[in-house]
Amino acid sequence: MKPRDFSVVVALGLCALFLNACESTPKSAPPVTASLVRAGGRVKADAPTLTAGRAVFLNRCIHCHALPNVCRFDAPRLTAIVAKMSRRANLNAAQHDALLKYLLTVRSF
Amino acid sequence: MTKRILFILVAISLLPVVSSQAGSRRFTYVYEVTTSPPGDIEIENWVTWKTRKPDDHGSDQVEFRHELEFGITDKFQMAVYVADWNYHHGMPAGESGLTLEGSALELIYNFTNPVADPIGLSVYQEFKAGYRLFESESKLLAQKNFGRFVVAYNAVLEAEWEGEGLEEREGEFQQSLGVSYEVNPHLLFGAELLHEIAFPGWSETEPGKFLAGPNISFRKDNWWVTLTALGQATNAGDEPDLQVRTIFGFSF
Repeated sequence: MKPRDFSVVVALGLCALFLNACESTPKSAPPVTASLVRAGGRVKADAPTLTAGRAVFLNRCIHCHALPNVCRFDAPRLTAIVAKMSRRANLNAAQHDALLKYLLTVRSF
Repeated sequence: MTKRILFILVAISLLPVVSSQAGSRRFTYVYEVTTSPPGDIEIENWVTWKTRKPDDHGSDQVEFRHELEFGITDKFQMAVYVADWNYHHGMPAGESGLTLEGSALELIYNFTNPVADPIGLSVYQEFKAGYRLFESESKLLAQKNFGRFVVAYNAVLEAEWEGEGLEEREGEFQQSLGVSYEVNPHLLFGAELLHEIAFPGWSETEPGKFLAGPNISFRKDNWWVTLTALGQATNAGDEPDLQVRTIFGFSF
């Protein structure tokens, strides 16, 4: 394959992938909407806390692994996983709390 | 004596990375768009073995990089490549030995997220200086995560000044593509592709070079290792037919 052809193939392939990736609101990390904030009331999480938790999930967790579907885990299991992952990612207490509340809210949403 | 020194230096280079968080890399030739969190400090050790050029079947070279990385803000990180050096054997002049190439400064700024946004984008700039050497490397980093799949693309423009007075000039344009699949949180498989075009003196254009090969990344607890093997699909005489890069990481 000539280098120019390779560049064209790469560009077309990337365009196809990115056009199919128009899902900017992945199911594993839904945006903080009014309905999500209402659901967050169960774990005493307000909009700023849920927003901070989502930011941690999107910016810190993806360093090491794909974002999981948290609905697979019950609340105690999810809490234990987040505690372990927070230590590994060196999250502070506020980040850990926000992340846990966001994921528990998403799980029950 | 040279072999003893080489053994010691290789052993030191294989020491685990020190990191306050497991910022593991899926690729060794392709950069991902994510940056280190503010306050994080990470050290990475790279080892690249290059062998067998079409013009020199006996050539062997092992290159080492030692990087100290700092997370500055949520979007910005800086890194210092403390020392780039290599051990070479079988060069056309028949010399074998160690060469210290120089040190480098790297800056990465992240614009968008590869999960939440349609595409993750970052810009990268590196300046490298050594004995009669100065290089500037600019990259556009793009990435998209599709669940367990990650696709990353880099477009690179490099300018190099060499020689006494830095009068020798050369440029290079490179594209690289990486695809990685997370089998489980501990094991990832993938592939990386490189396409390079050199511009000697900025007045000529050499035929493009194409390299491709598989990669594997393993992480457990607080350490990780990623390895990529690239074979040359073209027949550029000065490009090694095989190169293998390993990056080691470890977090406390």
